[in-house]
Amino acid sequence: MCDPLKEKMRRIFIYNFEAFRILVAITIAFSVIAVLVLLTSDDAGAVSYWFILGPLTSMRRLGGVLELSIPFILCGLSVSMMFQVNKFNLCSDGIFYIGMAFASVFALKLDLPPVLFPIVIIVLCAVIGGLTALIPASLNLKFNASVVVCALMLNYVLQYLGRYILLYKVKDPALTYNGSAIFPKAATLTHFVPKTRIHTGIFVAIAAVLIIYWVLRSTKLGFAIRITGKNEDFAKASGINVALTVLVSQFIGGALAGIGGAVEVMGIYQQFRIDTLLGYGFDGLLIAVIGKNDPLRVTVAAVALAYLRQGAALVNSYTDIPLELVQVLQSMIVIFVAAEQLMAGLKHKMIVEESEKAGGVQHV
Amino acid sequence: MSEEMLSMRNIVKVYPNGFMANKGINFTVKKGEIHALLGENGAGKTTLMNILFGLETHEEGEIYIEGKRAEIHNPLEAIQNGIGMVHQHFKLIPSLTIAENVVLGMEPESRPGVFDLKEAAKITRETAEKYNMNIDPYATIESVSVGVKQQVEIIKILVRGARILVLDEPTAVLTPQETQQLFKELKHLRDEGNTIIFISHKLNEVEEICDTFTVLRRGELVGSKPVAESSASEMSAMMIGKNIDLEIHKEEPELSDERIRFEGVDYVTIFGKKKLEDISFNVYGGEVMGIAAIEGNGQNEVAEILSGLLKYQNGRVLLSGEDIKEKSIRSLREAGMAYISNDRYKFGCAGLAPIRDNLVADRYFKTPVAKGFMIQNRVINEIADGLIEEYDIRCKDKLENASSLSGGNAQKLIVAREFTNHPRAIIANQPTRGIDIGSSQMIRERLVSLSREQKVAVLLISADLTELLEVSDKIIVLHNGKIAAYIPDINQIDEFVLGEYMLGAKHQTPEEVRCAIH
Amino acid sequence: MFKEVITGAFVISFLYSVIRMATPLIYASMGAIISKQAGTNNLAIEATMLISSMVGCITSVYIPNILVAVLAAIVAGILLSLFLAFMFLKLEANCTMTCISLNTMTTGLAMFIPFALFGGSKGSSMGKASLTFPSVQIPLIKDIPVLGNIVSGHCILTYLTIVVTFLVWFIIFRTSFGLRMRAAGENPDSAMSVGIDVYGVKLKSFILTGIVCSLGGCFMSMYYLSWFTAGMVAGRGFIGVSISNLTGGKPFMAVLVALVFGAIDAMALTFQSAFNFPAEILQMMPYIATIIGVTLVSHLEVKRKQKLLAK
Repeated sequence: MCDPLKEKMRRIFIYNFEAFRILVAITIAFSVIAVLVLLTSDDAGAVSYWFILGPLTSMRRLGGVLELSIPFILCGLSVSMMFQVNKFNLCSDGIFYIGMAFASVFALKLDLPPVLFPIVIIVLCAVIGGLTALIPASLNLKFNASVVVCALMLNYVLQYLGRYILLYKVKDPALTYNGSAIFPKAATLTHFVPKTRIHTGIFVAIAAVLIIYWVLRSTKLGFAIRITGKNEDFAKASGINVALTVLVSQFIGGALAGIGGAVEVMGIYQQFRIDTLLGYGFDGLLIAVIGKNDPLRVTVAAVALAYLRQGAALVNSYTDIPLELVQVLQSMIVIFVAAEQLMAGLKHKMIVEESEKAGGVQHV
Repeated sequence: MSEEMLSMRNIVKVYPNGFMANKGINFTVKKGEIHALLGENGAGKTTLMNILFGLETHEEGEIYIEGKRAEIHNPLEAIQNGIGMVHQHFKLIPSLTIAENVVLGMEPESRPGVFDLKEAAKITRETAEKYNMNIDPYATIESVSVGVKQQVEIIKILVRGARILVLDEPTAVLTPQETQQLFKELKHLRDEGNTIIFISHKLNEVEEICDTFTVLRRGELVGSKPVAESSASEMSAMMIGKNIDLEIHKEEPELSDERIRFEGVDYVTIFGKKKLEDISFNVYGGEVMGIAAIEGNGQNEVAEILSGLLKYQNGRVLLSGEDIKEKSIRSLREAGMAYISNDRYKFGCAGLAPIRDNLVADRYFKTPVAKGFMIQNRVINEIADGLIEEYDIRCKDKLENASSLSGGNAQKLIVAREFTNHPRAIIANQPTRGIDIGSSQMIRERLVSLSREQKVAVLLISADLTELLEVSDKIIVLHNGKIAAYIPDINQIDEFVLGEYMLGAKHQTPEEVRCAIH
Repeated sequence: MFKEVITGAFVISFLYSVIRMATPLIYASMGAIISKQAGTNNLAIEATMLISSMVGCITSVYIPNILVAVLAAIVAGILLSLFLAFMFLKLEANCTMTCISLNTMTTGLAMFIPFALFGGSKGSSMGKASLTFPSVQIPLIKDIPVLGNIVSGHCILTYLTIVVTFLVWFIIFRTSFGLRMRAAGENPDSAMSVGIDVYGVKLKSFILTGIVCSLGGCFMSMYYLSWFTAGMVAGRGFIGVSISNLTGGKPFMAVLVALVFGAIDAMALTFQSAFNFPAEILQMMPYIATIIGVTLVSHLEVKRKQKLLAK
């Protein structure tokens, strides 16, 4: 009945529709940015050079990409664990920051031998992060409160809490700026690649990816999380404890963000002197959406975004275009991906109808 | 007096998948009568009325109102032609008042743009009083009872000039008292010259209030008669008809231990509607117990209570001798409960998950799939491959999402899973609805063989009487949430009598019903 | 120490601050209420306020006419709302994701555009100083002791909130349009069955939201501060959404709640200098209050629905 070549092309299109759609979203966003750059920059050529090739031009710059990948991977995994169970629990940003704050407190108030010290801090911050994420999660479960609003408000609360810790709990009076004392060496993560600030936290990030991948793929909990995310009613009818599964998944998400903050402050800064949210939580949102909640894809998206950001930072330093433009770019990508999410849904319905037609199903 | 109000001529409706819902129907309604439109689910009556109200298109046929040709392509045009429809699911706005709901879309305004609530209340009150409906126009919809909500829907269409009122199963949601109130209003409306089309299953109500009835069956019009010249038995016979014979060979059941037991069970929804009343029956391993019922008479609730999705109020429900009230769904399944839901894509499978995962969702946490806290994907693959082959699930790849399966294959996936987890009691709720003959036959044969060979207790809920009679050993008929009949030997009954019980035309004595616990 | 600080002058200036801080919250919640009544969970109030505060400020630099600046800000608010409407209504985009991303996008634009237009140092987003609304002294009232100092001396946008609140209430609850909007928002299916153009009604509601929010944005960059900075909305849009949820979409209740939140904001400002109380703890309060409020309201709503259905 139908032309076989057309059928084959349609098959390929449908099968790879997701990737195709994301590509289209990225292209649209890039085009808009390109137009903005052309309009406002005196040297669009330099902008393109620094943006696309800049990070490759030196060891230090390339290192910067990997440094940024660490929090991006962890935040991307964090948000994707929330999305696994269809909860928009967007408090990863705040948890990341509070993870930094508490890690500083532990680094300066505790005294443990090297190697053990950072591990203990990471574990403590993971627990704190997990419990924090449970706040919007359980309010949503028990009282049907909006996860999004509670989580976003919580971000502000955590920002002020972190700032409070900075100014009143760990502030070093000897410094002229608001900052804590430098952490003892035992509580830092060593930089092991010369000319860069790449620290051992990268192994934590890689371990996190592998662990999450393994949990989702090969454990009972992972199976329950996946099925619950795909159809809660079916999960319930099959005997899965949906409420518990949803909570655990969000706990894990919060824990990852907490680890991210701890690792960042012990690795890059080795001192606590940030007084606002870094926004990595929202980068995690983009990464989770592009990576479709799959740990490996999330890693790729995280590194890609880190590359983009490094490029933008170089553009910021060497041309007349500021860093914030990439923030606009990122947001646009998410908007267009989110928009086409449901266009794809419509397309999908059409496909199902078509196949049912072929199967000759009778609807009563 | 006997002029034609509505004439639908040669209506043909074919759905995109090829299914013919209306096959050249000629439906006539006289002016000033209450006309019942009868038929089983899927007979085509809802489709016909949707066409009349402009909610669906038709391939062939014309509509004539008072002798004049009418073109109806959407609800607004239907309203302009004097047709009003009260749907089963009310189209009201809960937080707004009755008056606001009534005038929505044609709001009276005291000044341009400014809504005149007083005038709206006046219009509402006038119409309500005309038909003896006691309504407070300023009450909000969410605060009034279902009966009042229905009255509001009727006022809505009257206020828009409806002279043909179509009511779709209006008493399905009403209490007996509210039903009587509705009947009074309908009679009044008829006496004022309105024409009413009454879609229903409930033969006793048709006998009570309707002047004429028309029966549809499988998309065709079977016949029309004045109610006074007929009986519930005749109506029932016209609705059911004789179906084709399936060839299912089964031996006499050899009973094992008791697996399912309902004792005096009641179930009331959060809306306050009593869906099950004093349900008592049991099923032994080795036999197939069928439940025959028109949709909405409580059979779904029986299935969902037994599968753990709903909690019952009174009485006891036992699974293999143990009360299920405080048990989790997982523990029920571990005790041998298997459930084929009638809502395939909600409770039966996860469309966005791979076929492979769907097949093991009920056993992923125990051996052989699980080892400690891990699951072995190799084992899942083996199980999936085995089931796909054994149950002939047509798919390209077990890693594809379940949504890529056709309806019949999705159902085969579901039964493949539910039949193979060492079940001791299977609840099959409409297991072959909407799927092809081949798959249906396979599912029926498996149900029988599970009962005979593995001594599983099978509870088969179905609207397909042929299927029930061929597959079941015994049958319970549910009507209005109560057991209307218990048939201990299906050889003693045929579709017609079964239909009469299902439609409420016949009812067993309490002694006979009590035998359902055997 | 306490007694020394709580002088009459302190209280007066505190109450004055309350009204001042509550103004943008009132506009934000009015915008949120319109969207909520129309059935949209519009989380992009924040972005709308930000974009209009930026446009208003920048316009006033080029065209030194405050009315033109406000008009430009309103146009910006409407345009953003139309974009949102397109995403929701036409493309059926996911509400939450789109709004969150819109917020981060406008924050980025808020840093980028002033820099692109005015130069200055990168990383700082302070554009040129804008025109500001003058403080208005109301004759007669200003002479009333105590009350006069609290109520008089605000900018016209503050006094306008009274008019706007009334207008919003009137439109939603007293016009045919408002009736249709509420119907379309609560049960679009039922609304369509009586012939209401749900799409058109929702589109208009988006535009109204845009107008109201942009007034709040103007207040921020052209009175509260006399310049524009990217972080100036500081979550007020979200608080507006929460106020709308807390009060169930009732405009006059929302004004009261906005005053309460304004008080909390004002406390953070004044108490800090007066009592040496860590500002951060106080700054957390509005957000914690919102979480508690939202939770309580959701819980009560569930209980209320159950009670009604059980009748």
